Amino acid sequence: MKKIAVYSILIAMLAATLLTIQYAYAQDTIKGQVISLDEYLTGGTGKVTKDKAKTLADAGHAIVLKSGNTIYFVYNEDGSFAGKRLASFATAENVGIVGKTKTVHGLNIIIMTMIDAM
Amino acid sequence: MSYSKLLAVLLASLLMGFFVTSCTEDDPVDPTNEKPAAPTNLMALSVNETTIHLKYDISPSEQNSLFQDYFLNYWVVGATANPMTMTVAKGVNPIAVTGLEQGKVYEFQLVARYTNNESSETAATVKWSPAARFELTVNDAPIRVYETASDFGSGLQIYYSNEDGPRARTVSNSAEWDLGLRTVGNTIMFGSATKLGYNFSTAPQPTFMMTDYFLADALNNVFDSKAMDEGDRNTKYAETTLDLATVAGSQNAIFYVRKYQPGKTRYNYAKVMVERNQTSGGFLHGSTPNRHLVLHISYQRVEDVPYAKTAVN
Repeated sequence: MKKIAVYSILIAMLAATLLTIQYAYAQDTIKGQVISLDEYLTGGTGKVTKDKAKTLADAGHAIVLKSGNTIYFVYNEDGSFAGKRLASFATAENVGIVGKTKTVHGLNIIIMTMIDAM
Repeated sequence: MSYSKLLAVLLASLLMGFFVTSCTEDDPVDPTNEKPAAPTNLMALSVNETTIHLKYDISPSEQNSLFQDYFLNYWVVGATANPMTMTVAKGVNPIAVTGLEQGKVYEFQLVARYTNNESSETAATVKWSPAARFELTVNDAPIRVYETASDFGSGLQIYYSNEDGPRARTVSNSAEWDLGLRTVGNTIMFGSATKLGYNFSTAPQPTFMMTDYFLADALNNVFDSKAMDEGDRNTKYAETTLDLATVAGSQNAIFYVRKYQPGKTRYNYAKVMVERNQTSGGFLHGSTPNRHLVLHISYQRVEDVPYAKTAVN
């Protein structure tokens, strides 16, 4: 419960900041894997099934992109958190996200314009 | 004439009158035995795994005051003992037939009926089987194959059984390509993965496209009257590609495809529609370096059932 509250606050803070900065940065393609942040922070690889990822996303848990050793929180262009969108790609070996990247309060974010399996 | 003879004649006349009257009142005869003309040109399309739409040319007898309706009989081919039936009101065209089972081939027979209980002497007929429709990949994304310069996949696996749907593949997954896209210069080569000219580390398995392709506005408004391997169609499948830049017009392009799934010896059939970009008029969508084709797929999961979706012929 505490974890969900922390995520919610983080997401709200990021969303507010994002709308003001999203057009100032160039488009990148970030390649990585879709993971559950919960699973990753508890020592696992973070990989979960598509159904589990969807269940976690629906319950407010963070589904994120891991590229190398970097974790990205991914947002839609309208500023909403894109965890549910990412969850559909949980079983893909690799995912590419085209968007603008930025570090906000020490967190890496992507404002996603496109996503697909790679 | 004697009184008794006159009475006998009158009695006989009365009896005759009764006989004639009873014949006309108790045993009425229909004003006509006329039969309606049959509907013609019955065609089908698979909407999904359980539903088929049937379209037909109406009976010329629809204008006759005796016209009642149409009547559809259908059964699984080889199981004529258990026909299913449906009454079809005048004006219902196409007919939606639901509750079917993918992989089973059904024969449909449509007749016209008059109110005098007469039906057309002949029926319009077609055989068809429902098939799956895929508009999204296994990742719930539009089905896309990307230009050669893109980091995204230029290859398509038409059907990935583990996740029950199509998925895009990159060169690193080359063994799983069925169809693909290669963009060189102004060409937009689409077709069998083996014929695209990529340097694969592991060659894909053959995928065969019919050399004829068809144009249509959408998969949902075109119908077919024969199987994908019927007649000379069966001789036209080859590992081949087509430069979509040469396809004129404003409609989408539809390709018939068949291939053996891994370990199988019989074909699975599919129809793949490449959606035209209505803004540019070409087939590529998006912007460089991620221009892509958008695909729609009708796929027959059951082997050796050459019916999948629609075509114009």
